[in-house]
Amino acid sequence: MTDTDKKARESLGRLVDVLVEDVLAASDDEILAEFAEMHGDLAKNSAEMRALFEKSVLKANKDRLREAKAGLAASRAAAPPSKIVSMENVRERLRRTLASCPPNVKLTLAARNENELSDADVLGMLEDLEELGITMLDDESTGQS
Amino acid sequence: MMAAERDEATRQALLGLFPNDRQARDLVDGILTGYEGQELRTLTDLDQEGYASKRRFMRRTIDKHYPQGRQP
Repeated sequence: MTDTDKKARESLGRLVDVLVEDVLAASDDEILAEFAEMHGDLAKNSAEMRALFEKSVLKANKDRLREAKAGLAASRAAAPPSKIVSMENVRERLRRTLASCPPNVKLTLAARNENELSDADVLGMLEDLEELGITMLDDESTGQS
Repeated sequence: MMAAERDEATRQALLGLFPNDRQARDLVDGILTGYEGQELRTLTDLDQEGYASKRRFMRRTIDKHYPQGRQP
């Protein structure tokens, strides 16, 4: 850019500054009066602007909802399917676990006949054993049937 | 058109917005030249109130003719 170009730009920049300063220095009433003179009904325009604003907010909310749905669908697709096991397998697993666990634990947990335990008791016992660090791979993992 | 020519054309177009208002033309020309405050009032030979009114008129006239600003 030459010096002449720069001076011309600066002079227009000064004019822009003056125009902006005058707008910033104007009171609200002056701005409203000027707007009404140039664009007409203030109430009508503010209603249109509000409607436009609400439409934008609605669109933004819809976009967010769509993104959230897409994210949820993606996470569901990525999640491993829940494992459904039969209680027979679980009971068998408990029997095998008990058979292989240390004697002191066996004494405590195997005091009752496994056949007398409810499904909830069986699952609870397996959880207890896992908490004690005594686990046995299930049938699917071991490849056993 | 070179940038300097384009800017001079813009300057002439701005001055042309006030064909019958010497004070408004002086005000625009003064601002473009770099005058400020009291210098501009002296240049336009206006009192404080008249000067403020002329600036307002200048701004509104320019806004009216360039509602989207100056197009590059």
